[in-house]
Amino acid sequence: MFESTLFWIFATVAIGAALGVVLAPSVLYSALSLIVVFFSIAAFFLLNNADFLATAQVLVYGVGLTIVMLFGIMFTGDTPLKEKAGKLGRLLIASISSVALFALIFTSVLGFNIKQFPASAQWIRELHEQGSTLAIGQLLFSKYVLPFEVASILLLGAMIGAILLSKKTFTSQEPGLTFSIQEGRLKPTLSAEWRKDVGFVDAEVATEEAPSSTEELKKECSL
Amino acid sequence: MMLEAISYTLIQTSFGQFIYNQNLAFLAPELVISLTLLMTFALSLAKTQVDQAKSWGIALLGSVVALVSIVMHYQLFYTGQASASQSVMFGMFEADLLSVVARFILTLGFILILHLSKRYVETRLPSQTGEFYTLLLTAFLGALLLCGANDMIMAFVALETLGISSYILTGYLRNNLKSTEASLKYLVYGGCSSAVLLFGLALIYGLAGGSTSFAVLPQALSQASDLGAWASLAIVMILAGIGFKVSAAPFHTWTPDVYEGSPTPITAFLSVISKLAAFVFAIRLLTPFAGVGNENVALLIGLLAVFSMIVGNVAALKQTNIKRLLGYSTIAHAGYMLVGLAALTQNSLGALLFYLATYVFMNTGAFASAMIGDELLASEDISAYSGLIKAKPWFVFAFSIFLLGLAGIPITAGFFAKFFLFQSVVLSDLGNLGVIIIALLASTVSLYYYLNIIKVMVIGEPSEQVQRLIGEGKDSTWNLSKTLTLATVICLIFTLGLGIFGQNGLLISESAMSDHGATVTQNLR
Amino acid sequence: MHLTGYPVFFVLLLFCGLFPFLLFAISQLVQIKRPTAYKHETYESGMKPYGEARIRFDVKFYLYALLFILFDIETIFLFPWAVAYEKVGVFALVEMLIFVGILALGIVYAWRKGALRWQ
Repeated sequence: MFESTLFWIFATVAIGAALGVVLAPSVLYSALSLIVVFFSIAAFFLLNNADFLATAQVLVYGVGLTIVMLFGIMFTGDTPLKEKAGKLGRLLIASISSVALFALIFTSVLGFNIKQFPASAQWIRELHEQGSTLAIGQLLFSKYVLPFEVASILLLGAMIGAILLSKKTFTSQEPGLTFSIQEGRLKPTLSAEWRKDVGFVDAEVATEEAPSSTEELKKECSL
Repeated sequence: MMLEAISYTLIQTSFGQFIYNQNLAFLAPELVISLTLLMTFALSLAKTQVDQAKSWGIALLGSVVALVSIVMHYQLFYTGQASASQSVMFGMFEADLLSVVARFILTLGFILILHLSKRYVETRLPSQTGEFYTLLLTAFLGALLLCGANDMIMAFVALETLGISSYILTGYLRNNLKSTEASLKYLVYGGCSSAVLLFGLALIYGLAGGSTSFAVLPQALSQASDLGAWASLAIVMILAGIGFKVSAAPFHTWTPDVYEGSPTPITAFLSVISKLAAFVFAIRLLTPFAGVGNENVALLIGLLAVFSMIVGNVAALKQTNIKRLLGYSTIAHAGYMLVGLAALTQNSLGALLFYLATYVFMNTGAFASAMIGDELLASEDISAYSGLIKAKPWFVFAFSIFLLGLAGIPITAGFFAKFFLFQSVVLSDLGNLGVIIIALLASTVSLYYYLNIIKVMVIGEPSEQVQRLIGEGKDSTWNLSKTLTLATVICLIFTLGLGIFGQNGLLISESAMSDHGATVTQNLR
Repeated sequence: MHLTGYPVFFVLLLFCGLFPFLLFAISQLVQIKRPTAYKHETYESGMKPYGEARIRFDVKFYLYALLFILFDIETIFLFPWAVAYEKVGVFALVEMLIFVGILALGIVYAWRKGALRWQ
């Protein structure tokens, strides 16, 4: 009873949030409701005794992936989606392919009775008794130890790639940031080459803006 | 004596026991490559570029040691000391003759690609030499593991190790828009294809009764009651994934852009190493289906083959960029190889392995020539090669041999490879004469664009660049990269040599397949 | 669901979910309302707020996001190891040390290349 109540609660939340992802007016809201979807799916995993899967879902999808996604949105700017969603043909293709995918997954879940295999029936019983995390831990460090170690090299390669491809390289050997005392105040100067590298295209605009805001701040303080 | 005593005491420890019981010695090439990549990675932290440049030597040394260990392993088979096949690390890796032969070809190809990379990296990416070789070795490690992976999880991890490093290497020229575009396209297509492949593997996992091992597949597939629809769906998904990796049409759309945009040594790597590893993976995964429902599998692979041959050859006709042309040519070659895979007999798979071996040398040679051409002419346009024979006759000779090899003209290995492949398919039960006729027609079409390059180089009017070269004459300050020349010469020797000693090469690859056949419980006829 | 201990977890989840609403509700009920124009302004740590909230962020943050997700995945591997540690013993410890050691090289690299330095 408790279980089925929870299931329906999370099912409602999941479907509602998934609709939110599609219908939200801005990408940012979509991403935020996607987090809710991920967490409710984690709850489904828990309800089906897949405790490790639930943890992975929360850690990788609920936290890691959404952070990368939100960052991505913040880099590109959050533009309202309404104007872009117009094309009827695109909408048709999207709905047909998603209905097809749903049908595929739905029929495969219905048609697939994994319990008919004796080995898996025994597995399921064992998993019910001890939880899946322990079983996965034991397998990971005995049978699947080779892929596990290869995964570390895979992750290392990915890390090198992430640093290489997204790190800004400084071609200049001269010090980029120098300090000098002008009119009794410390003034930082960024060399022209560095400024180009860092992407300070509108350095002048930035310096102009600063005093105006401080003046406003002073006005604010005097009030 | 001393060594024996030490090894004896080592075996007594629990870790020694583990290494001994799990046949870890057969993973020697992979272990060597892992250590090598950690060493080049450590060098990437070096402050000076001089220190970084040493990573090439280390990478080469590591690959040569790996090659030696593979040859030693082959010796065990040759002298009969190793039984038909040895399962390594709880059945994750199958150290059979197929894996040994495939890894031998792979390592040779990798050494050639290292030679291709040296000058390129020194001149274009001097500050990131260490990282370049680390990532290249990581991709190579994935390819090596894929050659013997006998478990879905192992195969997938190996595939991703190969894939993710390749995506990064493709975009290695960060300030080049084409390279970045290629990397992004490759990443997106690759991610989707991996997901589809994984879905297929998951379905197979269910059909096989909850085992991830390829070894139980034949038995499980013959027992499963309702194989029909689910197995077909799984096979379609797996073939889509494999089709992407070997760049077979209609999953080829990434190929031309990625090949054109990425650094040329990486293009060679993708067209040779990735393709070879993916084909060995396909052989391992698909041979269990040879017994059950094989008509569908053969039909689907045959369709992929026909599409690839038509799309690759027809699209190549219009290309003006040499790298793009070679990209379409690899699609066409994937088509020929898939013809061999579709027949799923021992002989056709043996011929396929032999084809892959010759393809490694011909294609690496062609890319090496394209690199030399790029250095000479500073252009990737075919029109720039016009009249090159007047300036560099030896280069034109070498390039022509590779192109003739790819076209499948007699005396070169390419002819024998094609001949053996098509012959074995004709003789097989599932051999479809229609597919063979299409393959022969496609080969004929391919003659046009391969011979066109030779024609342009030999009888064309000298282009601007070539006239400059002729004008410079002996005063030219340009010097050819020694490693690149060496790689080209080795490729040339193998392209001609494998043609002459083709029969022996075929025998080795066929025995590799028969050994593999023994491990999949005689499903192959 | 056969796993034990989770009803407590779900009750806690429910409580955690409701708690913020509870706080706001209490705040609404207890507070004294004397609104002025300044009180209605967006609070930005004492600075005068200007511009829009939705600005483009510098792409340099992306590196941190990518590094975060990689170590996040590493955590996934650490979790079953910690649970199964009693059963798998020293062997797993060594395996895990190799795994973490290789990834630690990645940190050394990031450090050395200045990827963690604020620019």
